[in-house]
Amino acid sequence: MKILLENITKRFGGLVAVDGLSLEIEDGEIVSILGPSGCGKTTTLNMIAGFEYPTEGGVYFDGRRVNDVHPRERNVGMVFQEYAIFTTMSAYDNIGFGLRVRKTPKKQIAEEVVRIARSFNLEDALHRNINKLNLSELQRVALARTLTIKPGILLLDEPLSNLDAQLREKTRVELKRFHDRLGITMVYVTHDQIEAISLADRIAVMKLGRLQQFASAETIYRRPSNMFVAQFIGSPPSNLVRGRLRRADGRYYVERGDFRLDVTMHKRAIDQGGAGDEIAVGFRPEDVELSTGKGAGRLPRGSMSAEVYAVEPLGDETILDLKISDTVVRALVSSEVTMDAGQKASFTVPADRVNLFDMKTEKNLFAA
Amino acid sequence: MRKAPYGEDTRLAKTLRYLAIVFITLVTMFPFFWMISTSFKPVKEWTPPKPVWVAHNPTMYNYLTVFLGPGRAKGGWWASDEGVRDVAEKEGAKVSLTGESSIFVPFMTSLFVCSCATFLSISIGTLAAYSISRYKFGGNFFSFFILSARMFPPIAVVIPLVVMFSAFRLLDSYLGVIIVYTGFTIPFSVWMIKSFLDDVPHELEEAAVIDGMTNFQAILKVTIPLAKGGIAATSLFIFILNWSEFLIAFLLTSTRVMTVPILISRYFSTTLGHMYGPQAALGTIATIPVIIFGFIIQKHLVRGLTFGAIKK
Repeated sequence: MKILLENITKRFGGLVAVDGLSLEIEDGEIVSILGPSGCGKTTTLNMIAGFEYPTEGGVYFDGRRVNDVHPRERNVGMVFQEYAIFTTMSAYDNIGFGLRVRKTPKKQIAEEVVRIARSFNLEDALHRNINKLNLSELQRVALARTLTIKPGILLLDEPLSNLDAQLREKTRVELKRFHDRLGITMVYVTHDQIEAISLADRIAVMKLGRLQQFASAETIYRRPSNMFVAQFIGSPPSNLVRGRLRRADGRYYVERGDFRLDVTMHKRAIDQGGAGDEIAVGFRPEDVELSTGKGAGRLPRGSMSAEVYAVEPLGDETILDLKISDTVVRALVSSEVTMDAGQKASFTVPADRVNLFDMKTEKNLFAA
Repeated sequence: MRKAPYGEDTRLAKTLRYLAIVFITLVTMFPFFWMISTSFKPVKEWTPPKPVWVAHNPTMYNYLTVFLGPGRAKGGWWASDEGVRDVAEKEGAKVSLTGESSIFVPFMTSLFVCSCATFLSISIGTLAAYSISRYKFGGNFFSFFILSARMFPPIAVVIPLVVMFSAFRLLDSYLGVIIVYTGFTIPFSVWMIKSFLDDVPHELEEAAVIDGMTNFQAILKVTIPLAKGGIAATSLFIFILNWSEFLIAFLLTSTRVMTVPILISRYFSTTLGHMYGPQAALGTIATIPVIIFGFIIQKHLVRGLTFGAIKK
């Protein structure tokens, strides 16, 4: 099913949980709603499910307005963070729950439950004591239960947050495979960007009830719509140097202390963006190029010299914190580069890979 | 000696703890023991100068009185009791035991009134507790407001109630007692059940609703079964409150409706004074339903269910 959220706002008393959110989710798409806690992502999910009604705006499924439709009639499935397994019932009864509520004949329920249990590798778990099932099994029971009623939309509220790292990765892959098989529309709420990036076709980044950006992971990564998204996405997050624009001899520079970046190539965007002199420059740690300065002794153009402030080895890569004036620039380099804190280092930032933000509006000057 | 690791008690601490438990148990059980012991004592051993721990001359007269009614006991078996004979000689053979009631009618009355009132209180209390727990009905004030009904002594409410009930012709009626018992226990059922409902994650209801149940079905078939341990415990508590209630019953009833606590107070003789033996016998019998009720719901009293939530 196709989901359309049209300018929805949800207020709880004086608190605005969701503020003028519009999203259009295509049939069969996986969309992640990503954001820090309190950003309104779960409220948004609850409005799609029908547990909350929007104060303003409309929720449409395949063009039908469902604002006033009770959750039981929306034909959606939901997997909850704590799985919401009925511990008073067996796994079999949990999975067959929706069919039983719908008064499906017993024989048909049995067939359906066994069929779906098989596809989730749960045949052994069906009649075991539900309290003895492990997390992964419980999670699959929760998923199987929502799917027996053949929902048009599957909502997932941080379904992996209770699993350990290894199981989380495995389940993520399973979810993806499962989606490929069913082609069901999925809305996935998470605060974990790796989950969002690896699972979703498109990601909706939210902050304080407002949608920040709704685009593919690639776009969000390369062209964050504003300073918040730039700093929220990526691990380690983007560098954001809040500087001043200086024009000299027809060339444009962003400067902050000794940090100085030639951004002349973005002259048009800067001039047309109508930004003032206060511009922040954002760039990925992996785009920072380190020039050790050894050997020939000649540094490439635009090099800045800094002091190594901290070294964080990650295994195959290392994060270097480079201090330049009052700014710390993080660089992600190969672990073959060996440096110690206190050492001098030079680096360049490729101007064609940066994003420029108007510090007043916090918006990306390159954003469409 | 190796130091006991944290959380594990030494032998001495363990022994002391068990001694404390035994001591507290003895102290709390003592009145109960005394009641059973007294229920077998003849008149002379009820309030002797030196305490009688276990009846020297055990008698069944007390129980016979309870079962057959003190009136009929008058000239019969009591005449053979040494204590009664002494008094009879002194008073000129005029030992009178007032009241005709045997235990049967008051016992059934108590059972009926308390069961109805408990059922009503729990039913209404559960629904009220649900709306407070889930929908924050009435804000923070409302649940406090409900409790305020118990903040003054019951006698302050009962007097006006007597006046009103007399106008409604509810005095000395089963319905009257049931209404008052229900009303007086609702604050407890609301507060206790609310705390149990708070422990049931609302996601379970949402899951039930999204899988096709109506809101009310979800409450009835998902939430309440998960809170049934707490609801059972609350029922027992409320039943005991009603079962042992004296003051309200005393003021609201007279002749037609008599509950067990009222009957106990009626075991009084002008010549013998308080008839401690029959009172103790009746008290002993009166505890049996509560004990049975307790045993029936015992398995539900165990808490610590995980309610379907996955512990982090």
